Amino acid sequence: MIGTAQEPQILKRPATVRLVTLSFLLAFLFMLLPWSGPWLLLRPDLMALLLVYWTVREPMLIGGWIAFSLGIFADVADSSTLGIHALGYSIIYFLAVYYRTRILSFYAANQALHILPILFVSQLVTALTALILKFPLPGWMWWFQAPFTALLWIALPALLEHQQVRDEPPRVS
Amino acid sequence: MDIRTPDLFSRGPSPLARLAFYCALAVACIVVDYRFHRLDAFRKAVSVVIYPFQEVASVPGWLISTAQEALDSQHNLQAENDALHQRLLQQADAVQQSRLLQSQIDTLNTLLDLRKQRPTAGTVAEIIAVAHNPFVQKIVVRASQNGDIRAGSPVISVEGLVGQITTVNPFNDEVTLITDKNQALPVMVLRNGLRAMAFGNGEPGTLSLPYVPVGSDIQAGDLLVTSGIDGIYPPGLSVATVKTVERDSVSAFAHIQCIPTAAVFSHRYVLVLDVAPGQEGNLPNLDQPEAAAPGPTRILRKPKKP
Repeated sequence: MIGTAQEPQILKRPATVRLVTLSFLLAFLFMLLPWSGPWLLLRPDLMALLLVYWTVREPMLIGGWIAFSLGIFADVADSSTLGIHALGYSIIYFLAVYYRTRILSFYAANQALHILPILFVSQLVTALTALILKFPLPGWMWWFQAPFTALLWIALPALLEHQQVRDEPPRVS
Repeated sequence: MDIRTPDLFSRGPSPLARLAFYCALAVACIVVDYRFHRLDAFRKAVSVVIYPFQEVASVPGWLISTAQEALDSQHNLQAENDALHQRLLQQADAVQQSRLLQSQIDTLNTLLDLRKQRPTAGTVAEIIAVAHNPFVQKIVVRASQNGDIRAGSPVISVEGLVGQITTVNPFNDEVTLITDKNQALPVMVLRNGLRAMAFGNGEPGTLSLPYVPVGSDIQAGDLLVTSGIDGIYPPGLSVATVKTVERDSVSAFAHIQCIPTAAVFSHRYVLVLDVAPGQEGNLPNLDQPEAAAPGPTRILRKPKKP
């Protein structure tokens, strides 16, 4: 769990740039997998999830420009109009920075409940942009993307923090 | 416990200011890309960077299909081979007849002093991905030989018209399917030559003909082929079959829904037809109604709904 005061404290090394980059690359590959049909509508947005995670965990590493560039890459990969994902990710980044301390004060499941609205707002902005640009909205299943992504939040610390602890044993001074 | 210093005395502008900046930048990107198409070079550059990732991401799918092929029994392969032979035989007659017909048409055209029809040639391309975007209907293909594909080329499969090349990237090309909301194409009812415009509905597997008058002779089961009057698609390509025709007294137009004949997602290869000279880059650019392009460029524009 992320830094909750009630837990036994484990001193973790701060995440390395390598780990952050690697996690984003894997999320990008996940996005590029051959999704189609209903699976495409339900595909969790791991990039957005990791963006929130690292913004909350390592605010010094993640800047707004990273969120924006990730969005541009996602746009080209998705062959959508340039800027749609960038807009969504910029908003996600802002919300993550804004609610960082609040999110950190909860356990993982409660944190996921905070992540959900953040992802949902970004999805809403995407839908609004699509409406303005007169794209047809995808099926109703698409709206379950945010809940699915938020669910994965619960698994995320286990995956990434374990990595951090195992990589380099904590130095206790 | 997070041991980093919290972001209290933050560097640079406030989060809100940064949000405003990046949102403005993103909106500017959207406007420039959607409205003016001025970011295509940038998009191409980024697509070169992400190309290796696309290749890596296609490995699992490739592994699965290879494994399936390897495990496919002799019997299945034999059956498929037989079916293909049958089909070839059935089409042999049509092919030979079409040669005769073509020569007759050529003779007639010469007699009538009409322009000769352009023989169509094409490049085989492999479908490598479906665009991961529920808002658009696109696929990504890779041509077998490089450099032959140009924006605007029609793309067909065994059963009929699939779409049109809309973006040419260094390593792959994007095909906008005929079911995309922004695609319009001139079609003709094969049975009686009735012309109409077909529009994508923005979802897979459906097309509609919104501007066919109520009194027109069109019925469920009619085959629609390209009429060729736009100069982009050669005439006679199968497009769709009419599924339902609804006529009501309120609207002057019939509500016609069609099913495209080409099943895009069950194929691995498509054929990219060459564009006619002078038609290159002749994309159905619906976003720029006022872009009155010089020269022979025609713009297929979706009319406003009545």
